[in-house]
Amino acid sequence: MKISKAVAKDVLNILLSTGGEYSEIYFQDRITHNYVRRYKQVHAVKVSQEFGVGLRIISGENVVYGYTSDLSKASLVTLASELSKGLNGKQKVTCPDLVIKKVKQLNKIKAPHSSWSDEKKLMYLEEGEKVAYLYSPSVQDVLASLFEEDEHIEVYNSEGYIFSDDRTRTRITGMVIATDGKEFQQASSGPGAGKGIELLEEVDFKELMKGVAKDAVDLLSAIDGPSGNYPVVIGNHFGGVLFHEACGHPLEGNSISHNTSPFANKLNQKIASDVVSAIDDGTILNSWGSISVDDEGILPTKNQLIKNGILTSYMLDRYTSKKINGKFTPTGSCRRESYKYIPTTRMTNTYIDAGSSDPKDIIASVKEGIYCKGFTGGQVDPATDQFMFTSDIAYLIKDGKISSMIKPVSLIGYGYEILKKITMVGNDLSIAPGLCGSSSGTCFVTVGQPTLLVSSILVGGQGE
Amino acid sequence: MKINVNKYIQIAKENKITPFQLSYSYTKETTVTVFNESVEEQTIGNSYQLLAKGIVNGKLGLYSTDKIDSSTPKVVVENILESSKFGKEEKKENFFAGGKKYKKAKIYSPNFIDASLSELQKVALEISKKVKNANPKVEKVEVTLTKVESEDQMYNDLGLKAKEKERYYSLYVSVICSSDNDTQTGFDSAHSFTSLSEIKEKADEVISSAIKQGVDFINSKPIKSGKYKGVLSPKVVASLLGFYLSGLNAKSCQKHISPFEGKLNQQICSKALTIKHTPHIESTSATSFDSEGYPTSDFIIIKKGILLNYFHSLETARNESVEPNGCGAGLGEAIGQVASLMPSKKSEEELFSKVKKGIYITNVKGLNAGIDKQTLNFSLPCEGYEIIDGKVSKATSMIICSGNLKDLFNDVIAVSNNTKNLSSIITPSLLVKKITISGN
Repeated sequence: MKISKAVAKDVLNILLSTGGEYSEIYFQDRITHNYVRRYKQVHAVKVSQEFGVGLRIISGENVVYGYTSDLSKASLVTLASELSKGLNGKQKVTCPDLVIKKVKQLNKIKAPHSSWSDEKKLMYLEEGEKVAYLYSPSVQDVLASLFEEDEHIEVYNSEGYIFSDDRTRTRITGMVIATDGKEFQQASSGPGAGKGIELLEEVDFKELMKGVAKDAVDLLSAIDGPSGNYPVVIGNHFGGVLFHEACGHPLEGNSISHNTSPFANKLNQKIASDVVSAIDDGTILNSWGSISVDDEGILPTKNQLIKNGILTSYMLDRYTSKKINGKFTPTGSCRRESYKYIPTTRMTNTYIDAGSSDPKDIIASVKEGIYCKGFTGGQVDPATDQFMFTSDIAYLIKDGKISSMIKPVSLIGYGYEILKKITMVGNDLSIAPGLCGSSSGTCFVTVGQPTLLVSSILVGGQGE
Repeated sequence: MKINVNKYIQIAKENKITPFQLSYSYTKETTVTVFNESVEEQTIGNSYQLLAKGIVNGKLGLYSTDKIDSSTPKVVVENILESSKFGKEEKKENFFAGGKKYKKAKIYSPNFIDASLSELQKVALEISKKVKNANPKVEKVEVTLTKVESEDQMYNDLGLKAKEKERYYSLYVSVICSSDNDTQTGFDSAHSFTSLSEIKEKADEVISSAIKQGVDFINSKPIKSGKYKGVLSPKVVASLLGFYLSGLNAKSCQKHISPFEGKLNQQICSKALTIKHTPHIESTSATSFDSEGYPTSDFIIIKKGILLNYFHSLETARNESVEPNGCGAGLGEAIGQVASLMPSKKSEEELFSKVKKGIYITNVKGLNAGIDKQTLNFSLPCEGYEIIDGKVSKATSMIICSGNLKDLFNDVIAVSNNTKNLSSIITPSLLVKKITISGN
């Protein structure tokens, strides 16, 4: 333990001294390594450390939070005293002696990051880079990078428990810029997992880079996308950004407890078409968004959010579950980017579950529409549920067949309407890693879905 | 927490790390968030960060940490040695040896009036109440008031010594407005480098702007798809111009991946546009030195549509035998700090009067996904108002604007005089020939 039990207990009690109902110390020690090749050379090898603690008091609907990277007893006591002044009651709860609560480590790491030398990692990236340059003379620039995270967190709370989690993540990214002398186009791909360096052996990086180079070069001859409402087939894998934005964020505790989500007070009601079932599951082995314990000491769950179109659950943390009406329990998905952020409910691995349709049949069912295969990301206003996402690899569908590639387009809609317009769900569920920015910072999340059909959505292309 | 710079430099020297550079920053943030007239969150944060870089055998090592104690100098050096083994090939010349004067950025006022957490609470509650009472359609309101105090220092063994302090208050107001079974949101923000009183003075404008956004768009409808002549509000121009100017990174030009390569002294956009680099202006993005420690400077980026300067780092400037201009962003890349688009004498209403049938775009969304920094193509959800016979008319939303930023800034017909300070971009509104809208 990075903080002695005695010091932690003292600090937790100081935090409770003015009427807090719950207090907590969150410790984080996160080391990341970034290896980047760009411009046909090593561009950067960088090591970073995030190290510090966040102290939190919850009292009714009030949260008092503070953070510091100075872990000395004097610093922690001073900060705790300063924070306790944020409330003005009398001590109601006392922190008992702290005991360590063992948590089963979810992700099994086969090969730690240190098992490959820096030289071997950079050679791996260089091989992928070479393949991309060789793909076409139109390839102008290639970026190949490796991100490694080794994080240790500890949660000490006023209920008398200490939890810890060791989180390992690895991601490789390829990006290619192509030009025909008149314009530039770019494409990228970035597989990642809650794994060690074994991920590099599992991913055929050369093949991946070839595919990225092909996409970038193909985009040079892509036509303008259409403008207006069309049936859209959204591909599996990172297509899950649709659900993440349209429904995931509005189902998070912050929006639900503030009663600012269109899905608040809609439990057990029909919010999506019958073919839609959706899950947030922080327990998927070795997945990018998985955690052994969340950032407030609650075990992650497989949380069925929607079952056959019926809203069955929200995503909640200690604070938001209590704030609704006290009848809900936290779902083990309280997260934060770092000790500098107040934690709140965030998605982990969130996906629309597999359906029964063959993806080929889904495409064949569209007379005139769009097939979105690759995505850059999206955004939502959880209060209105107006969402957008951008597809960077997309094609026209004509008479049930994939036709010309189109330039990147954004698609927008209201989440609560789009969920009802999902008419076919494929049997090819696949998940993909991503980064999600929200009130508690940038978190590692997985999105996912099978190929699915939305009967109508607004497409923002420059064509007719 | 103070750091002994000489100790770091000495240990680096003993380990043959030279040049060796240290950037140290300290930030204290005090924040109060009020939701619906109740204090919901209070935060006091102290954070330190140390960024170190150094050359060993011609290769660059990089390390950053916020763990600062007696063991840190040794840990920093060990990590620089480790990361430099296979690091980027680097030249000593890419480290700035100091010796130039720094022009102060207007981000640290001696007249700053300090406020306690309880004073922040009081003002945030007052503002929240004002918002709630301002319009019956305001259903929920969140007010966040923050005091930021920070200090940045940069040193190296070649002689660089740079220091800068900043302190300011920021106010962020967001509202959820509902009526007739529809809900819309609005937000706006303001800063003060002097006092909470100034924040209170600015609050009225922030409140009215946030509420206008929320209320005006209730039950608004999309307009028909098509190409429209239009006016872009300062907020929209700032969002788009930041991406456009990122193409002027000299490194991208030197690596042949910028559409602006070889365009110096050529017309790259409308003659109506003159854009200056103004890094010392009162703005939260202002700074007196860049990430290489080089002094930031005032210069003209674009004059009447003609590109006069790229953004340069030490590396890119040396490659072109020009003076660096204080835009270093690390690893040889370069970016502008604060850009000011010069206003004209025309009012925004005069711009509207030039449009018979068009659109006034007041907000664009999805900037994290909907703009391709490389191609400058964009496809962004937006909202605004129809313009009919030169007058701003009905609100419109759930539409997408798309195009290419090069074309858009080429199509600017006129600039207005309603300049707004939006942190890294200071700009008025623009009248543009056409913009593609996807709607009904």
